[in-house]
Amino acid sequence: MDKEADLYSQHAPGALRLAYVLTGDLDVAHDLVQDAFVKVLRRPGFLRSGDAFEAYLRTTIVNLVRSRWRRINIERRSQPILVRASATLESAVEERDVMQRALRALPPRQRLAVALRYLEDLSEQETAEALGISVPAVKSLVQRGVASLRRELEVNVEH
Amino acid sequence: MSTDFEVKLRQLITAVADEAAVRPGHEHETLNRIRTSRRTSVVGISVAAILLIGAAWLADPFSWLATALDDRKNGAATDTVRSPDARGKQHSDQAGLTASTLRLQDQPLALDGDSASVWVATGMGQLLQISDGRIAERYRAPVARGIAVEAGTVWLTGGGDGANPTGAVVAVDASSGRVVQTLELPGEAPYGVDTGATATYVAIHEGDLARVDRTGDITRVPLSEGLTQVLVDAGQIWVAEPDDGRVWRVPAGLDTEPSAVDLVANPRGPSCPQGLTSGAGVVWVADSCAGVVWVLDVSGKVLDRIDNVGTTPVDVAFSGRFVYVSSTRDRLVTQVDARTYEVVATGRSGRGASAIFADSNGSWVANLEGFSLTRLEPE
Repeated sequence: MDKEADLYSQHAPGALRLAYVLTGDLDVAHDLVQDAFVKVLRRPGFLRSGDAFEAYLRTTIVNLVRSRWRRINIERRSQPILVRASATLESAVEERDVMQRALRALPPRQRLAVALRYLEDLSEQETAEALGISVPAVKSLVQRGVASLRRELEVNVEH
Repeated sequence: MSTDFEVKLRQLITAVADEAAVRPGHEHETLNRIRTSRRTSVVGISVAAILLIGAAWLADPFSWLATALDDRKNGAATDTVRSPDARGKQHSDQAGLTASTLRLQDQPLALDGDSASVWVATGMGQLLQISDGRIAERYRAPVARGIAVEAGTVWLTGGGDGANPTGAVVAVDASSGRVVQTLELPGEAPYGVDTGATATYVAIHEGDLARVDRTGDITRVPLSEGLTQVLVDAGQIWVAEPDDGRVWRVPAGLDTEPSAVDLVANPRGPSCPQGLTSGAGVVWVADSCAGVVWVLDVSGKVLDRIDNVGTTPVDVAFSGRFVYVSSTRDRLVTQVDARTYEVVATGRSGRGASAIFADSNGSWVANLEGFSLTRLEPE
């Protein structure tokens, strides 16, 4: 199990970050990452290392997130997260909170496309392959997602 | 090059992601589950294998052996692929599709054709006509997203994005390259387009289906955000909504209530209907998430499902006898008999296979990453 442990150590933190950005829920993100590792590694002799493993793990997480959304029929506009109790907020923290809410409010495919492009730094083609759609569709999803996020930041963050 | 906002966006998304730290014990739990699931898989596979072998033997003691020997003898050619049909049966006489590549200077984004030509809209705004092996540029336009060819007119949709904030639907005379009609949609992104006898229909990504009649009058009906492809067939308009796994069905006059075919609850899991075509009295829907082609009747009822059409089928086209399916991730192109719904041949396209067009002799596939078209014909 040393190889599996090495792969977990190397890839779990990044996988969790992606799952968290997509779901907004740390517990759910942990469950999805665990499910993804089990799916990928339970077959003996499967691909073990390198960029291909990371890509395959990422695709598995994307598919699990989509399955989860379909299964529980998530509302487009999710519940807002709790506002921190502190009376005064640093500007950076406030912006991050707004971004988190805004991400959760994005339609699922826009959220996926934005996360893959701006968190995972995938190219448009890589994003298209991960999502099983065309490059023009990726451009459209990202453009709309970014426009929505920009609007949320401009409206909700005090300067 | 990233804009200032994109740089900030990247920083903020990273800041959100930074909140996620792996909790103690998660690694141990995960590795234990992997170990346990492997043991379960080995046992499960052994039991299933015994049951399958026993069932095959009882059905016909020697046929399974004969099939295995035939497969080893036949092999596969370099450019052709053999695969089982939709029900898992091997066709002993199954053929492949031979492929040839036509290089382009730009990304082919949209594809359609008629009996004489194939028309391609590219990423740099070219409208190309391919006929008798020759390529001619007929028009230059903003980036085109959708294309439809009908009765000497080529309809293009595009814009409504960062580069071109105003969406546009343009009709170009095929022989002269002259624009004969323009519809502007400020702040909206027209996507799929298809033509009927008296009107052209456009799926607007923000949620409306628009009907443009020959006088230029426009009627709109709201459906749902995320509309992509549109198909005109027998007095009905079909619109794909991959985000929610739905295909909308709207009467051509837009005068009665639309209805939706909900594919999300299918047994294959997530559904992302993308490509649409009609033929042999039914509607064919390429579903890139479920990895199947759905067959719908005119009322929207799901009649059948075709498997083995690749991992990510994104588009589908009807040739008059066969349905061709393009699959992006594995570059598989599948030829399906439209009468029996069986896969009869497969071939390979280029990288980033997306749009597909079929004529009576074969199919054309747009390869986004390969900057090319692949022509596939039966052997």
